[in-house]
Amino acid sequence: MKSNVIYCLTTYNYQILSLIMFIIGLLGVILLKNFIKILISAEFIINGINILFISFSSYQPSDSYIGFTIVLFTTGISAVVLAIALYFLYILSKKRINTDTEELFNDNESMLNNNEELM
Amino acid sequence: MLENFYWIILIPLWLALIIISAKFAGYNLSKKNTVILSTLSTILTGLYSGYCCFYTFFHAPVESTFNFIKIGNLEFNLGIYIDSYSSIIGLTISVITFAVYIYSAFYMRDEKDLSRFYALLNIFNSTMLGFIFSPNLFQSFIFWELIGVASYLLIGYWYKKQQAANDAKRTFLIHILGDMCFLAGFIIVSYCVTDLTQAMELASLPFSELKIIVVTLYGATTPLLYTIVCLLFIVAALIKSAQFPANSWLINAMSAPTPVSALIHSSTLVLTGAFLLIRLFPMIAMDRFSVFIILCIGLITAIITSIAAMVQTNIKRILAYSTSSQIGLVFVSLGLYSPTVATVYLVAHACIKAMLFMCSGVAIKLNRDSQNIIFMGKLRECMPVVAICFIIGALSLSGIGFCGFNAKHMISDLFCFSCFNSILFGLISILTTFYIFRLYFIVFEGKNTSVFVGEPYKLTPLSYKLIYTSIIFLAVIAIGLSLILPAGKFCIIYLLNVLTIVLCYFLYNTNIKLKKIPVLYNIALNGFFINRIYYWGETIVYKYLCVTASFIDTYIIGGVEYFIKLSTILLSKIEHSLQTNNFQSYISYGVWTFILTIGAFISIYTFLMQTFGV
Repeated sequence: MKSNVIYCLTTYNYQILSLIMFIIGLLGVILLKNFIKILISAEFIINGINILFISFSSYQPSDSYIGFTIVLFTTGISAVVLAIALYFLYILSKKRINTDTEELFNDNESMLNNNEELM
Repeated sequence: MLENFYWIILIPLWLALIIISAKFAGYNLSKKNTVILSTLSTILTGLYSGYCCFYTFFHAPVESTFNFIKIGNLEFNLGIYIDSYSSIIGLTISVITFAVYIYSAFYMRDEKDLSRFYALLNIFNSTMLGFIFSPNLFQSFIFWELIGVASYLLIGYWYKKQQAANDAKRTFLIHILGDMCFLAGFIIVSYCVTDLTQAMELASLPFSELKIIVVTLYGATTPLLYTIVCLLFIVAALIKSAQFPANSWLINAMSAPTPVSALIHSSTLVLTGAFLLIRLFPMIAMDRFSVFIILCIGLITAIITSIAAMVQTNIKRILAYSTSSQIGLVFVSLGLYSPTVATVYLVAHACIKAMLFMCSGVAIKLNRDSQNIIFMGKLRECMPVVAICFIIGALSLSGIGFCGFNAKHMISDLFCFSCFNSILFGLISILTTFYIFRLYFIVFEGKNTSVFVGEPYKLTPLSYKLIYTSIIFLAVIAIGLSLILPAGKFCIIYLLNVLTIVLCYFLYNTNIKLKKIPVLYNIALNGFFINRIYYWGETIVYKYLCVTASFIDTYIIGGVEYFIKLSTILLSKIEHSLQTNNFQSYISYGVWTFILTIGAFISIYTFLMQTFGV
């Protein structure tokens, strides 16, 4: 006998997907060393949340677009954040080639220490 | 009408407060005014207690109370309870205080701080009367403590002398021990009685309901507990009355001024312990063992302290030992189930001993503040009236004449029911006669003539008047008491006493050379080493206390400190390692705390749900 069960996508699957994206983004932010990769994983987080919003908006009445509007706002804000972050990256890359976070902050520390010595 | 005037016994206290506050305000009352006001206050209290005495001949005991503390159902009252015991002893105290106030105007005339002295004496007088007239054991306890405090302040009157300050401290500490026993006994009795009867008005143990209390206590406790309660009260009483195991504080207390010794440590303070036993005698009389203990304590004290008094060279110490031994006789009469005889003996002894102390004070003053009797002598030629009064006192104390004759006879009637007892009583009586007439012959007759060489102490006409008024007043009372009391009979003890006086005359007034008995003399001179034993015990106790305290300090408290130190170091190291200077690690801490708190919340919530279930 052929099974008549059709596997359909529900909001549940979308929520799982958003969770997976969120966790990938979080791990990326925590674990990766490169500044650009960190920015990319931040985008992962934001997009995971966007998917969650859209999936929850299906519980709303059909004429309500509140979930979609929120997603538009978040994408706009994330674009702004990314633009600022890229500008910082541009300034940093003018002075240094390497964009590893550890070295970046360590050098800052040494700078601070030098300042203290000067003062 | 009588019960509405209970505030009269508080007049001395108010006077003391007025004197002290005037001093703090910068206005010093003149010495004359202080003495006159204090004397007036004692006359008022004396009139009141005299009227009470008169009233109780014809009427039943009167009680008047007001509520002091109310906790739930428990009520603790203060007030006044007038019966024959309290009024007689209150009158005695007022009379002695009157005489002492007049006397100390002479003795303390060179003091700058006379107002403080009189304020303290007034406080003592008031607390004493508060104790004597207390309607229940609760008020008794309050004033029992206050008497100790007043005694501490008066012993340490010359607080700039190191010796006086130390003696005051020691005395106060020994008194505290007795107070603890009193409090423990009070709590046990109060709890047992209220627990059994649920009558909350009995919680403060009023003396008017003492029969009910004794019966319920006898029902509520086991015989052992009953004995323990009685023994607690006896220990409290014997410490206050300077009896055998605790008689050494009275010797230490002799560093007080002589009027204080005359008022407190000879007649009034030592009377409180015996008075407590007289008050609680219906309770103690139910237990034969406790009464036997009282008898034993009284006899041991009477013998030991009279032997110790025989060889002392300090005039005040002789009289202090004598006080202990006479109060021991009071305990003996209590041990023979006779509180009335005890009261009579207390009154007689108080008057006599106060007078003897005043005479000794005159001797000390004339001898330039030296208390050693070896350098005294021939006082009779200088002060014949004082010598006569001293003879009256000495004869009374030894039971040959005046009020002592009647009072001693009352005790011997009770005590001498067998041959052994008669011998024992005769021994105590002869020892008493010996030490008091030894004192008389050395100080007032004597071989020494070198005493008043040099600059003598100048007595003004006013001080003669003050001395004679106070001493003759008490002497007249001692003679008057002998007329009131039932007359004693002459027996063989009387003859022995007279022979002892003759012996004393030959030993101390003629040129016989005396030899010291080697061991016994040393023991008696140190008062059977009781003070030494206390010191020894204290050192041992303090040593072990210090060892345990240092163990606790180093290993328990120090260990806790060390643990705290280690744990802070460890925590700071962990915390330091967490400061990585990397923003990603900080994010990970945030994520981990979020996960852990949410997980903990969920797990606790589910656990509670599963176990208690809503």
